[in-house]
Amino acid sequence: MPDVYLASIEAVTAAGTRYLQTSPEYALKRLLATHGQPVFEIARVFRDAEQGRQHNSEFSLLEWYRPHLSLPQLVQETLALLAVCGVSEAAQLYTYTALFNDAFSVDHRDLSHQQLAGLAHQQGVAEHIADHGDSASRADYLDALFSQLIEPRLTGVSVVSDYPACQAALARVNEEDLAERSEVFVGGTELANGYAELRDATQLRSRFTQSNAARQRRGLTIMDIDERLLAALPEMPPTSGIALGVDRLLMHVVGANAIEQVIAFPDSHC
Amino acid sequence: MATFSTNEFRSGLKVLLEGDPCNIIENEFVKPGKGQAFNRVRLKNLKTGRVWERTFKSGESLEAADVMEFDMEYLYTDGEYYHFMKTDGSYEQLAADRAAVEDCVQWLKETDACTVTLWNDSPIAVAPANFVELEVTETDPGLKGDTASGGTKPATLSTGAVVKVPLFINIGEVVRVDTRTGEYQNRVKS
Repeated sequence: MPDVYLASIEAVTAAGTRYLQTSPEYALKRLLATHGQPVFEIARVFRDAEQGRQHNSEFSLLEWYRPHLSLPQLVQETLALLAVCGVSEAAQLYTYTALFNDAFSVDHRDLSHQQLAGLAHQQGVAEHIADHGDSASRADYLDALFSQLIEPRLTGVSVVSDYPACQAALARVNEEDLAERSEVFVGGTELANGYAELRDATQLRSRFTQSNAARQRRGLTIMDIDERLLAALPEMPPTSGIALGVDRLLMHVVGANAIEQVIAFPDSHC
Repeated sequence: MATFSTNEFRSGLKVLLEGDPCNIIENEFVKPGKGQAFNRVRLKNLKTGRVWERTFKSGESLEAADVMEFDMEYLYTDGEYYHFMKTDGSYEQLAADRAAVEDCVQWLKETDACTVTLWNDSPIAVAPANFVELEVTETDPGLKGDTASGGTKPATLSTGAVVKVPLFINIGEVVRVDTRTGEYQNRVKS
């Protein structure tokens, strides 16, 4: 289900309310559907209320799509790109399930919603989570456990694959109920997020609908479903795509410990 | 009173938490890759001096605390209260209780400058100047060549504070002390 917690910045235009893009994904997929060629963009993207040591509401994503390449192959290409940028440590490959199991001695798929909530509270990471009993809340608990207790221990270059189905966003979900999603971490920080792209428009529509229901439960704005994207999806060749945080990569390369140091006019200084 | 939401939290902001006035030391915005963002905040409780670490959902808010700091001069104590006077020309006097001066009572000398923190107009904390000059009232005469104690000896100062001083310091001399570390800095020639 697409990210419930991504907040788009509204733009008031003569043609009505529009939103600044949170990622170039939809546009690039529409191009992919029309031309069937690999495509990339270094895009300025905007996410409301995200400001911190590694967040700025305006930042840059390098995003690219490779038709007919598998996700593992695309991850290798990403690692090669990182090496060109000076990040050349050998990558350690993990699966989400294995990391979760090592940390908590259980397969996350075997945990009921209640059990998962219990585990998160017991580990002391769920204080900020309001439980709505839905898939998005399940994702919240998993995310709290993973990001606070597992991610910080990933050293060097790490690739985590096979995310829980409830965190599939626009990735395919396989028969083992795992999302074909991979993330690249450098020094415990998420740098890139890649998918084996979902091409089933019906499934994606259903995810958007669920996401809006989750947003409504949480008092968040309902987002119009992008019909042009859904129409383009079936025309897309089988593709893997990935998005990489350019500012965060730069932070790593120059040794900055705050994203503000690599952005000319960050939120606090614009 | 005004409220502040998590995206307004800054180091130095004064807020109320569980009824106590607190000073925000650090505010860390944490956004896990896919989940709800939260803020990890470290606060100093201005009443108890304890440092708390708390998690707040992004967007949550806290009430502002009416906390202000004033430069004041320490006047005297009547045994129960410690009296201070504002140095802004108003001559306004305030009485602080023992709890407020607990951390610094050993450095308080009459007419010395201090910073007094007021919450809803009541003193809750007092900070002395970084350096104070106090007279030695009690110490052993230092025997030349006595290096067994590492070249220092304890000395009691006029306020009751006990500080390690060099062996050549005698009763009646004035020494300069760093109140943050309790360490002797130098002798003050009068």
